[in-house]
Amino acid sequence: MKPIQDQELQRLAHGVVLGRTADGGPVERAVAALEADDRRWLRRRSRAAWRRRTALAALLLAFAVALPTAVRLAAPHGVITATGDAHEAYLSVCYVLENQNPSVS
Amino acid sequence: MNRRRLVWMLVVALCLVAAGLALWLPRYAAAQRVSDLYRRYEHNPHLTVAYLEDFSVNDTVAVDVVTITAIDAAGWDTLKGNFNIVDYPPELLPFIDTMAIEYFYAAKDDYSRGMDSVRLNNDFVAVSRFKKEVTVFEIKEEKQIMSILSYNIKKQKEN
Repeated sequence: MKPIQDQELQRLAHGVVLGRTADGGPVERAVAALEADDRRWLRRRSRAAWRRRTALAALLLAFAVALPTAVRLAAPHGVITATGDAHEAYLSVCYVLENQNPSVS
Repeated sequence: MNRRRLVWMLVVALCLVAAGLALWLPRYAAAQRVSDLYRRYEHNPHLTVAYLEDFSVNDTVAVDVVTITAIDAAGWDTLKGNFNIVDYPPELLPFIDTMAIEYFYAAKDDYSRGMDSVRLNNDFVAVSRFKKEVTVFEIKEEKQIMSILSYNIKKQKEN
């Protein structure tokens, strides 16, 4: 392996490996440690990406479930659709039911 | 642009779209559930029309109701023609309670035709000459007729 100067190693490691090379061990070990760090970092990044994807999928699923539920709750049975005053229409039906006069029908 | 920022913007946009849909969809869904009778008079400028879904007659029975109210004389003439409402002879008017509501059964396909021989092919129609209003109880089950009648009879006894 091509020898690497400490300064260059520090530059490559962005300060991550400084603590590990402080014991003055061989450069190969430091590079191996750096590579191991890289692998760990890659695994962490992979896990983080997976978590983000899962969270996004869960969010979408929640929307898919929540939206129809919200629609059902917001438009329950008994809804009044009217071109005029809906409340007056409701009262009118109540009035009609309460005021039958069979003798006229 | 940072990818994470892009994802968050997407999520926020999704939330906004979902909120908009949640507000708009119920109105749309409600507008789609109205009956043919409501649709028939919906755009008539001389009438106001209302559709009451599942109007509760009692604890167990509900019925869909359409009310059609004439705004002007042209609207009332339309209702009289379509529901076969005949004017009383003038000499009878002093003896008639103009506030009274008249009830009859009429065939669902043509309310001016009168009653169909099959009971469930009819709707229960109430006419208020005073308010120039027609109320149609859209009958789908036998128990709805019985509930409306028994409710009325109960009210008559109470009065």
